[in-house]
Amino acid sequence: MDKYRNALKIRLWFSALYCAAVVTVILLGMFRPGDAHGNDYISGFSLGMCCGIAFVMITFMIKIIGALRNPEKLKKLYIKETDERIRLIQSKAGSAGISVAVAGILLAAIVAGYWNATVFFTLIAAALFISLVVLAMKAFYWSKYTE
Amino acid sequence: MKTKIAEYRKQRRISQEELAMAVGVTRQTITSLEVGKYTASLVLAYKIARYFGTTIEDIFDFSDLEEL
Repeated sequence: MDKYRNALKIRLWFSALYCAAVVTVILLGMFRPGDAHGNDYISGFSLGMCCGIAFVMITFMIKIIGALRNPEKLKKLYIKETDERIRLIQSKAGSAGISVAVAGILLAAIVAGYWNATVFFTLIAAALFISLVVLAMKAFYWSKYTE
Repeated sequence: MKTKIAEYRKQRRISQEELAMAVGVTRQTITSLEVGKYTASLVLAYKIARYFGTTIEDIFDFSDLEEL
């Protein structure tokens, strides 16, 4: 459990670092509408996404701090994270989800190709990138679990 | 896969939560094992058998296992 406790502390530090980075970026005004990206919508989206992730991280940090102070909560959190059925569900959902996502992106690329070539090539590039990541992951786990 | 986990648990008056905490899984995993919706890994099967002081074959029913 000491190993897990240390892992949680590392996660806590990374989360705090991320939140501090988001606050710094906001204070520096990098997400000011029309400033950094020259587009209000993109600036707003970037700011919203970064703040959303920071908010999720803060809730995780609260959970981690609570677990680090209470051994019973720590054990429950450990069990929840290492439960084999939950891991199997995540693994199956991930592999099936990626296949569906790539198929969906390729279909969208074909449809978008009738109107806009840029969108078509962007979607093809996205599908290619996801497929390459999946291939790299497969190669990694193949070598990890073979002989 | 059919199991005798519920049987053993009731005999010893142990709740699903207690068993789950003892073998390091969630209560939902114990429920899934009991109703046969999930098949335990070898490690989990060993932990459950050891917890009840019996063998894996006694708790888990391998009669439905397909032979190749």
